[in-house]
Amino acid sequence: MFVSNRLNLLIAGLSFVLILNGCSFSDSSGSISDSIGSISDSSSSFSGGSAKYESDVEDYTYAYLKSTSGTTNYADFQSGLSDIAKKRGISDWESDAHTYKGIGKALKKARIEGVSYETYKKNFGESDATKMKQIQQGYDSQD
Amino acid sequence: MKRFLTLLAVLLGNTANADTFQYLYIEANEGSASGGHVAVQFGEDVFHYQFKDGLIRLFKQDAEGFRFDYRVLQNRTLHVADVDVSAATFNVLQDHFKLLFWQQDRQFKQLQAAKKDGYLLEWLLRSHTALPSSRQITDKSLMLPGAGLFFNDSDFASVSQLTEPHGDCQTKAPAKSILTTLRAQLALQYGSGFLQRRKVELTTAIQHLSAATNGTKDYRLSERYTDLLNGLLALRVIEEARPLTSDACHTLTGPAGHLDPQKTERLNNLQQQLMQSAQNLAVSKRPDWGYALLVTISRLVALQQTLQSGQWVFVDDFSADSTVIAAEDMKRFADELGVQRKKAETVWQQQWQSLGNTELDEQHYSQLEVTANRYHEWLVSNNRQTLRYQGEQALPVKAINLPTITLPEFSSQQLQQALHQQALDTQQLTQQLQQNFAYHLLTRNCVTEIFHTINQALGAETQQRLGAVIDEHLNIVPFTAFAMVQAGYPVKHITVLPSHRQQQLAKQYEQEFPPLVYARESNIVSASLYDYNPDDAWFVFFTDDALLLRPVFGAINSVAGVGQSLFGLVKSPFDEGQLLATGMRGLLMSLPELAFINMRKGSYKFLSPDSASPENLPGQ
Repeated sequence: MFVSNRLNLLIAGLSFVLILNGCSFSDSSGSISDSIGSISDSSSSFSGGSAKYESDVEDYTYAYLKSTSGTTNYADFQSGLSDIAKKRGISDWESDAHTYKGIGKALKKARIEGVSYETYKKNFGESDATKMKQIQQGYDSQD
Repeated sequence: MKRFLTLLAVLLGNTANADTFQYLYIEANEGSASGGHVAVQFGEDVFHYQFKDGLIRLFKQDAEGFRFDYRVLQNRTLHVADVDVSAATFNVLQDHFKLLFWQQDRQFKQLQAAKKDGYLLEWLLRSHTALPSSRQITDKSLMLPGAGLFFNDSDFASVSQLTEPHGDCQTKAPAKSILTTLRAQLALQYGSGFLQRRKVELTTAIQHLSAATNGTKDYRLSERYTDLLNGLLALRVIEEARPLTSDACHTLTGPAGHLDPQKTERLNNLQQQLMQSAQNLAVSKRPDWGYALLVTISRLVALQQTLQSGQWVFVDDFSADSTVIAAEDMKRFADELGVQRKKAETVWQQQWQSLGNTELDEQHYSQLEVTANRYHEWLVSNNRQTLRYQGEQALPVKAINLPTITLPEFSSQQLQQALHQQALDTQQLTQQLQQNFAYHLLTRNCVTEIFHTINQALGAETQQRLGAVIDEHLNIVPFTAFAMVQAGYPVKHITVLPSHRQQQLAKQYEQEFPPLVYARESNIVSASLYDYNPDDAWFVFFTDDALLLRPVFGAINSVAGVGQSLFGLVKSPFDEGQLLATGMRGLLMSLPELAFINMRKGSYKFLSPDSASPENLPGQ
């Protein structure tokens, strides 16, 4: 009887721990989790196309602006942009207008205005007239 | 009545624009998330916390993929609560989850970069003392992505040390033709001797790299070095009009993929775009321009070969560590894989046929490249009897080990100091991550973190905006947390999305004699809806639809677990104890069934959306 009670307790305890043990495990391999998925499924990397890419750039830039105090490290920022573009099948993100529109939207969302905005626009756009215009377009497109 | 009033108060208390986010509870099954899982969905994005390397990390996933993964492949029933909130509340919550995701992502990348510095510094230190041969193999994170498209490791070491890759990628003529043109255009735009000048510039930059770092958030030494090296190699490819390596591309032969004049024009236009990109990248200030240039010129070569031969040639986009299906599994899952093969062929045909309809940009070409790679992989699997199943990349990443063509001029003392600083940085970053994201079964798991994030986003307004504050310290179990959401938040609607097997079962019950269906489908021996998946531990009975018989079935499943464990014990010298571990897991998962708690549902390894029923498709 004693053994049976202990066994019941063990099973109940084990069940409790297993029930608690929620949470999926993430893929251990970075490259596989970064890949566009199984050979069978629709490639989510491309779903939503440019709009999704622009939205990712906006969210990433906004988070970057929010978590960076003082001077912005542009190489570090650009490295992150490359990672986002890479997942969407874009290698030359500097020639993609959606990159700079996304940055413009993030600047607006972060409520950056005046001289500060102009400085960011110039730096993110590398003083290039086309890129700065695209940043402005993104900025103006937000309410 | 109380719930109705809460819902009304929340909606009236906020703006007139209402919106809905979903709280998802995913039922338990064997394997990861054995106690169930939770997530929140805003539009097309699902956010959920997953366990990784002892930490609990926020992941963002496409809703369609998430539901397919859990509901179909993992065969779990999903419970979806539609939570009605104002548009303003929706935006605050969505923005907060996004913000946390990107901030966390950056923190993890900083740690990765710091570790990468350590590998590089140790490698450089070795290069001061060791023979060149011992430098050749570096850590995976230090490899040069993209460089493997044009170079083999053997190009920088004696062939005897490394095996040469084999393949039928022959691109000498197209590479010569297109890269000579590119070289001429670069000379025209940036002056003659441009390539030489740029190479000297990069070599000097490498030699004068500083070993010191400016804090943990800097663009770090290892990234600078690998980026500069990649730039140097990309310029060398252009200078030498180098062809792709023999295993870097493949041709889709046969009648499929015929290029008519309209499609040819689209490809010509794309080639012009890529030529312009290559010229821009060669003088770009972005740190990783070398990798981007390698990808661009590899595609230029593949396109040139396509245009010259009239047959599609694509760069291979599978990563080196792609998941491979072995011959044994190819046979065992022939039906499921057959469906996927058909789909790959159909998608490829649809894509190249529609090519003439729209202008082709780089992103579209990447998609075409991925589709072609998938289809080609199926074609070659006939002879090879194996299949690379997972690991495709939207941009090719074929990598090589670090070549020793140019090294930074560090003294041993500088390297030792930098290594010391790197160890401190790594320790600091690790501690920060541990402090913020360490997993704990009771206090910091995927449930607590979802509520913590929601409460953090809305702050003091949580009660007003959501009708309740769900305490993350008291709600730690997926199942009970869902009940709390139902009771507390303004839930408009609950949808239960049955698992793949349950859905198929319901259909069989409608069409056949139910007791017969039950008897047949209750166990894995006679079931028509389940073929044994080696990822599942041994079991005999499904227990998700057998409440009364669950302890009996659980006892039999436990015996199966014991049997697999014993078999695994015998086999352990040959499989490093893998089967033993699986058997033990099976036993562990079957024991709760003795107490009427369901775990074992089985899972599906190779189902595709097409082989699942239409109603079972993601998003339904």
